[in-house]
Amino acid sequence: MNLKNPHSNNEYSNENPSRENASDDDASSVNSGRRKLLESLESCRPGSDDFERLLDAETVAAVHSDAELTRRYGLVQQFDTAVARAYADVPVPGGLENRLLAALAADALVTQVEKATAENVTANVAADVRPLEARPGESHSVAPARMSRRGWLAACGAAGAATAAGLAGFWFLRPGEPVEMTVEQLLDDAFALHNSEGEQTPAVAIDVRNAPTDFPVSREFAVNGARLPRRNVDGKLLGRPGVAYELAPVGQPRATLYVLGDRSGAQGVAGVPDAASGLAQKTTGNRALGAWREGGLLYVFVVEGDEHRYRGYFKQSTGVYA
Amino acid sequence: MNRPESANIARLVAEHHAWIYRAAYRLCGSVADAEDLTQQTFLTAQRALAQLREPAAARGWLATILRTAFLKGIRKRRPISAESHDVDLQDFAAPIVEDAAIDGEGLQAALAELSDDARSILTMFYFEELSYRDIALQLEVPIGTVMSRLSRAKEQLRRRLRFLDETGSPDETGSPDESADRDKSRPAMGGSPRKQQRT
Repeated sequence: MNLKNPHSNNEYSNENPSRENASDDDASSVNSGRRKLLESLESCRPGSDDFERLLDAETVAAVHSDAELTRRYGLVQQFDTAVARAYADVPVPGGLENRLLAALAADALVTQVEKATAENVTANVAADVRPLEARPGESHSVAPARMSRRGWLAACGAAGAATAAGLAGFWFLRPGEPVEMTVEQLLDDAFALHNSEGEQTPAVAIDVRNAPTDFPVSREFAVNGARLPRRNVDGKLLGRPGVAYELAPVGQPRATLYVLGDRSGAQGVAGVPDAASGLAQKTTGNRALGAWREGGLLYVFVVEGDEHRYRGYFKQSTGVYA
Repeated sequence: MNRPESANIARLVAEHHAWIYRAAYRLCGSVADAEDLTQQTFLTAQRALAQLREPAAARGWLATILRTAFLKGIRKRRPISAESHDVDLQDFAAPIVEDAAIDGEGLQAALAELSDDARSILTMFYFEELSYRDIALQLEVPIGTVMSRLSRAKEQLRRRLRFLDETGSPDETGSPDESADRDKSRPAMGGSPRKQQRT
């Protein structure tokens, strides 16, 4: 296979004077062959054995016998590897999974209600519609039947029952813990707790690098090397064991991280993201609040101030990196 | 409510939502559109769950739903770019720059300038890691057509990423500046996911 590089200033170039007298057919054939070969090289996935496994022996031999093609193939693979790596570099929004599950539950509910309603309407219409007696020589036209009041009541009743069943089914079937509290309620409770606590709450200053491992500071925070006040908050939030860290220096508006333990004997919470986000989930009463799960623990972060100040405490202040 | 189906769709979401979202983002170029497309994918999957007989094939099945939803949705909104039909032999042989770096945001900006079909086939190749033969099966087109489309799409991507040695390319009809002018009439796409992150 004799394939020419139209861009290089060597014997492969289409602009090469030595080929000026070649017939158009020859040039076309060379171009076509070269295109096919380059397309073959481009079709090999990076880091795979596609080159040896999928390409025909003639193509493989042509590449091996041509230093320029071999070099080009290497560059193509290098490019493809870099692109494939960059392709996966997309942060996933926090809470996406929960939003998807909620949308799916709503859709399943609508489908079920529609189905139940249709079944009831069909049954009641069949019972209510009196057969018409056709006059001699007159054909029946099928007009939409008007639903009786009894039919509407039955349909509405079915829809209501389906709604209740659907909601119950959704929560029952949701993976994870049974739901007894929403994340919004949790943040409300955290707000109330934060309001009721003061800076004077007894605490022990601990070195984060050598902190007890039971309730560690979230790895999302850039507090390496700092000494932080830590205090016990057992049972004060969700009835769970836990601690609170004050991340802001004394004298500055508070930034409190609550780290809560396992849920045995305590309330479960629905809608808590599986990773931290630099974005506050709630702002109220000059406080920005957020919650997430991490390492089997539940984290609740309460900051005096706005979302900007909340975000500033995170290493990745622009979102969740799943 | 059908318990097994619901349980399965929840598992599919748990296992594949991040992967599907990333693919959707590369196709759409915006956080909001990607999330909508991800949701549309799983809603369709939920309604067609009975078609999934082999759990191991779930990812490919979801990817097919995603791609179909993307192309169907995008084609309702605007005509197919004529750019994807441009064929220039010079494109296939332009010298490639060595050691160029590519980041996620730069890649997205480059992808946003390509046609929907080009983005789709590049996503199959780079993200779904399908071989050109598998792509041909999925798209139901001849292998040669896939190789040609893929090669052309990659070359366009390289050009947008400045991954070509422009000085070595005698034909600059596809230069980034001119492409930008040509694409000004297209709807704005792209944007950093980090800048558009939703709560």
